[in-house]
Amino acid sequence: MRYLFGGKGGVGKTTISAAYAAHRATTARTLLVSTDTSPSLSDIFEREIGAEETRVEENLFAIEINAAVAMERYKKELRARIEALNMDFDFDVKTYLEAMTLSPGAQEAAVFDEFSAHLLREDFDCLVFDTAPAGETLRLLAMSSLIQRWMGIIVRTRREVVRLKEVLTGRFKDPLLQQLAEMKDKFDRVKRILHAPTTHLIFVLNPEKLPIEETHRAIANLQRFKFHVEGVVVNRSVSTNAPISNGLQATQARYLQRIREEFGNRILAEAPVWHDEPRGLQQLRAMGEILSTLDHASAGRTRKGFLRHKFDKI
Amino acid sequence: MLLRKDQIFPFLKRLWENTQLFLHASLADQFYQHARKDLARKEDFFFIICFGDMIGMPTPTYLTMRLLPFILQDIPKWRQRMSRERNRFWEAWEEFMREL
Repeated sequence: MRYLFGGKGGVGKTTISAAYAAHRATTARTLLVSTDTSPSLSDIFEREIGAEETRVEENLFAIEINAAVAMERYKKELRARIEALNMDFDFDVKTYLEAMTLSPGAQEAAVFDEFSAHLLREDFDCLVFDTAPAGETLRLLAMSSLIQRWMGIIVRTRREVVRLKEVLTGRFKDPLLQQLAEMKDKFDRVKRILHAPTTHLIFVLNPEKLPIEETHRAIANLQRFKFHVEGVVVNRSVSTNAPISNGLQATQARYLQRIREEFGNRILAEAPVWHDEPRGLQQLRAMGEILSTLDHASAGRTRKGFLRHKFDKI
Repeated sequence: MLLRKDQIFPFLKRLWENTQLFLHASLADQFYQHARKDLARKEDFFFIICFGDMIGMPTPTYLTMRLLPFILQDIPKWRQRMSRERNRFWEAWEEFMREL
């Protein structure tokens, strides 16, 4: 099972995903991955969580994807392999590697690379992803489609090159094609997993105008790339809590009504404003109880006919 | 007799090789030439979609950098080829004349 939480910045994606991961960890081996460029898992678990996999609890592991660290590792590996070739070149490979990791888009590609490596992991029962604010998540997911297509073109071109070389020089063994096929297979699997029914894309929103609008836009955009959004989780709802000022309650009541109208049965859970900030494992697990409805998010619902009529209008 | 007895076999061998070369040049070579040109074009295209950054075309090179150790030896030549001045009109004219 894979859960991806997205949404506008500041709606509580990290809290919700951490709470849900804590809840799942009571029954299954769970890994919580933050793809945010400025991650805050360390703050929420009140302990240091870095680019390495950290054990938070018996069954709960957490990791913060760090593009800079990933890039360094990648560059080091490449440099070692190039040095192992022991060849003379008339252009500077090291400078080229440095330049490429500084070029625009390299950061996103690094994050995507790490993200896909974690997405393909099979050694956990449940993977929970805390993604960056909506725009970046969209790009991350859209990138999977684009890169998969691009890899297809590269592999096809290389096959033609190899075929022609075989014609001209007899038997020709190409190690590059092997590497390319591996890469293509990886990105194909990423795309397949992202579209699989066991992967749930869930948006977090607050009963306020801006998050609602942004969520609508994000869902419409994702549908353009044929992604299935499972539903929404309403966070920081005050309707169930009494000791809060009436003004806020009235405002939220209006927007909660709107959310119920517009998202209907796609509201998967509703988390109230916590009496205190949910920090630390105990509180997160208590909050996760509320989100237990996500455990069977797609149960009893077919993948194709999910309120399509309603969302196509947007 | 022009050839001694032990010279006959090498002579026949050379004759056969030269006949092969002659037939290759007169009949098959044009096809091979086509294949070589095709190969050069396809390899250039492959390089461009993988490492377009080197000649100023933005591509998501971060992911294809993995291929670098396999292909590094061909890159300098490709860059030279790409930076050579080309006249597409002249090339088209040559192609046209060849067709005639």
